[in-house]
Amino acid sequence: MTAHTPYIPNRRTVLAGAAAATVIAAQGVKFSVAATPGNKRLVVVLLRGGLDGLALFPPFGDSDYSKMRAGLALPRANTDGGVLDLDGSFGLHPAAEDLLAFWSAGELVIAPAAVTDYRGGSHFAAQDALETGSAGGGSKTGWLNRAVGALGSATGKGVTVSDDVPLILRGPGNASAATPPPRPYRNPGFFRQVQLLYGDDTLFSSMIVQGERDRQRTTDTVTAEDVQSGRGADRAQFLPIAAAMAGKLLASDDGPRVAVLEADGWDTHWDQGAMDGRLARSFSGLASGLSVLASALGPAWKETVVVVASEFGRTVKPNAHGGTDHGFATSAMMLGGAVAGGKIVGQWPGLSDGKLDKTGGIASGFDTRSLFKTALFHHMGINGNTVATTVLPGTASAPGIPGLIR
Amino acid sequence: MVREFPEAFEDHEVGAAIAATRFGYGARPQELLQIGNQPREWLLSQMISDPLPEALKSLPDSKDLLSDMLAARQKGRSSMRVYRQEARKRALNEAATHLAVSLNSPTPFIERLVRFWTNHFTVSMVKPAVMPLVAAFEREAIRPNIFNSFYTMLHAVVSHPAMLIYLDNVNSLGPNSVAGRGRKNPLNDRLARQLLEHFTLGEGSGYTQLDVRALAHMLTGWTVGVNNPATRGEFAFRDSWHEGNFKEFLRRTFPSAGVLEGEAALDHLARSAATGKNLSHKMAQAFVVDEPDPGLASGIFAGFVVGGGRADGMARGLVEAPESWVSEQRKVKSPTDLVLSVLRSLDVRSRSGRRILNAIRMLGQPPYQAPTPDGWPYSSLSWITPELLLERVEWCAEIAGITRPPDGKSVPDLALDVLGPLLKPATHRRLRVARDEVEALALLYASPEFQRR
Repeated sequence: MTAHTPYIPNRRTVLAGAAAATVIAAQGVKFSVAATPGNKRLVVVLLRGGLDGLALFPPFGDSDYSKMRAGLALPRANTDGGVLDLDGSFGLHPAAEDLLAFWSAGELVIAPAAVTDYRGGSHFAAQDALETGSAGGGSKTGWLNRAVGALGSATGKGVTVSDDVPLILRGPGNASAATPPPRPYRNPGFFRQVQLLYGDDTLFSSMIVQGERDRQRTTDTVTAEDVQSGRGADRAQFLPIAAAMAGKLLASDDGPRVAVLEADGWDTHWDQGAMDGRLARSFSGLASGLSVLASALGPAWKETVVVVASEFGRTVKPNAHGGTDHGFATSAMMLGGAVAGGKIVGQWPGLSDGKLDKTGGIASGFDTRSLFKTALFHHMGINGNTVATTVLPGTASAPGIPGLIR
Repeated sequence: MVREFPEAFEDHEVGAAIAATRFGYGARPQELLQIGNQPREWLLSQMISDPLPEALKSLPDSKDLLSDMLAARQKGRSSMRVYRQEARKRALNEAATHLAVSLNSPTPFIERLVRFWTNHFTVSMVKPAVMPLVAAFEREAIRPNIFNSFYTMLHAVVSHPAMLIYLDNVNSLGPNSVAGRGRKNPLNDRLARQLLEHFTLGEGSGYTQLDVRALAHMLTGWTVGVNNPATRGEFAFRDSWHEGNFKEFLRRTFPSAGVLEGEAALDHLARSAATGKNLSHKMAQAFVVDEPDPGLASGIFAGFVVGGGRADGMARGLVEAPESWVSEQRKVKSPTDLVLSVLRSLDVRSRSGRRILNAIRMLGQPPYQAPTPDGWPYSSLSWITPELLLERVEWCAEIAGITRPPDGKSVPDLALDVLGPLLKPATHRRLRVARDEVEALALLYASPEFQRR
């Protein structure tokens, strides 16, 4: 079965008059952009479904790790095919090897036990908390939307809000463009190239545009079926495609400055695999997606901060189906050319039975929103008072961290 | 090291690129250099080669193919079913072999001319009865005659069993003939109609329905031998089916003369100026532009007239007309043109041709299977609809993904090698900055310069 992956639309539809626009949605991967003034770039990567942080950054230095993880434990660091050692305590899943380059370059910060203020097991409520900035606030706007507002939207204000824009970017005053659907094509960037190639040729350019429009209808149906049949559980595989497009847009001089990448498929209740398998494939997609993003940004990578977060983590112990159930804390990351990294941040609560959260997941050692605030204040340069009162109110217990930005 | 885009091209470089692209099936990587500064001579010199290459000479002739069919039919239904399956397979193999010959040919202008005339005189596999014969028809009626007098080709075409079966002349009886008298609607005028409307004079050239009927009468009795061992599987004239009496055809009186009547009618048609104009217009459309300028058509027509209606004269007229050499690419390649030119640019040679056939079929032009007797259209817009263009682009990406430029060449260099001055600097630049070789190659093939002729 051919992979139905997204493609990039005419850039004008993305940028013209729209402060926030969702650009693609396919295979559970999508990205949205927003225009703001200045050169600083901020990318938020949302891993929907609840990331098993222990699998991505195994704490092999923790004496309880192998015992508690049982069948999901990876071979120790420095053994052949084992965990890639980061700092003697935490390692990296070998499938995410692409992240090692960021770590070595001092561009990656890891928070191995990160949560927001949400307590519970609902994906939706937890994601709302991650995107609105608070579990209890009842806010219907996204914190990134408020941040874009604080930065001063680069374009005029629109009125309509499309459901395709993720909550994190939703809010008043930010128009959104409808999203072109995906098409059955392996390399979506290619169609953009073809359009550019046809620019001068009236016949070819009009036909290709019409053809894509016509094709949409068919593809829509196929994708819906795909989703229903539960295909593409390891959807992060397609992240590099979205990352390449987002990176190119962010890199351009007149392009947007803020982007959100979303990848479904992290809810690994069944057969998540250890060294190999579905979760490993997702890790590989995530890591290569981030690395594609960096190269697509080119020199602008130096101006970029990427925050990667998931709504919650998973149980430390595997369940009866070779998977893990909803837990509590999980790993979050901040990376970028503007990040002063190579650091592990937050407390490590430990993995012994008595130290776990009541869900059987990792207890809280860090507030994810500290990374958001670090990016907004120290990197994007939003006034500290505005961050504290408008963008992420009620998060005094989760301060920004000065030393993490270059 | 990728070559820079040249600051200027020589005139003859433009000529070489046009010769290979517009008159052939696109250049192989070294071909523009081989054509050098004599593009016209390169084309004209091909006209002394044998249009029936060795690879096609060993294939069975239509007499044998038809005899097989008649034998199977005599044996009964089940053997006919087996025969049909076999025949279908064999017909597709032959069609594929013909495509391989076109791809490998050192004389691509001949191959283009063959395809032009084969399409002009369409016999399509869409009619199951002629399926086994379509490739043999090209070998026997078209190829040997593309540099002959037009009458010779026309006669070979109209008397060929494939055409007689395809347009139902095999069962056309004169209403007053011995065999036809008393029958209901014994006459079939499809062949006569197509002859006037399409093969020769052309629609709107002034003939009437009475002329169609007269020609149909003259062609009664033109059929295929079945029982007589001497003509089994070949052209046969059956006098008892023929409509006697004189005929008034195109304001002339043709006396009753059996098989000679039809030949006289074809001769008259083949020499007519209207025929020359119709054919010239179509050849100009097929090779140069959808709406030919009068100068171009009259250049081809001048070639037709010399020697009293010659197909080779038309080819020469086409090459010599200055309008054929304008650098603007005004035609979109048909799927056949596109697939063969992609493969030639990769310096590929084929033995069986099956993959070529499949690719062309996928892009909407199943070889030897034109839907109607009028053949495949020449208009560019028939090949570039939104859906077809998407399919083309996807096919280009697909083939780019499973192949590599020959001799380790970079894609921008390959583009300059096969398109020469037809390549636009902007496209060259895009090929240079494509994210990888596959994308670059796909973009080369998807580019308007490559998609056009």
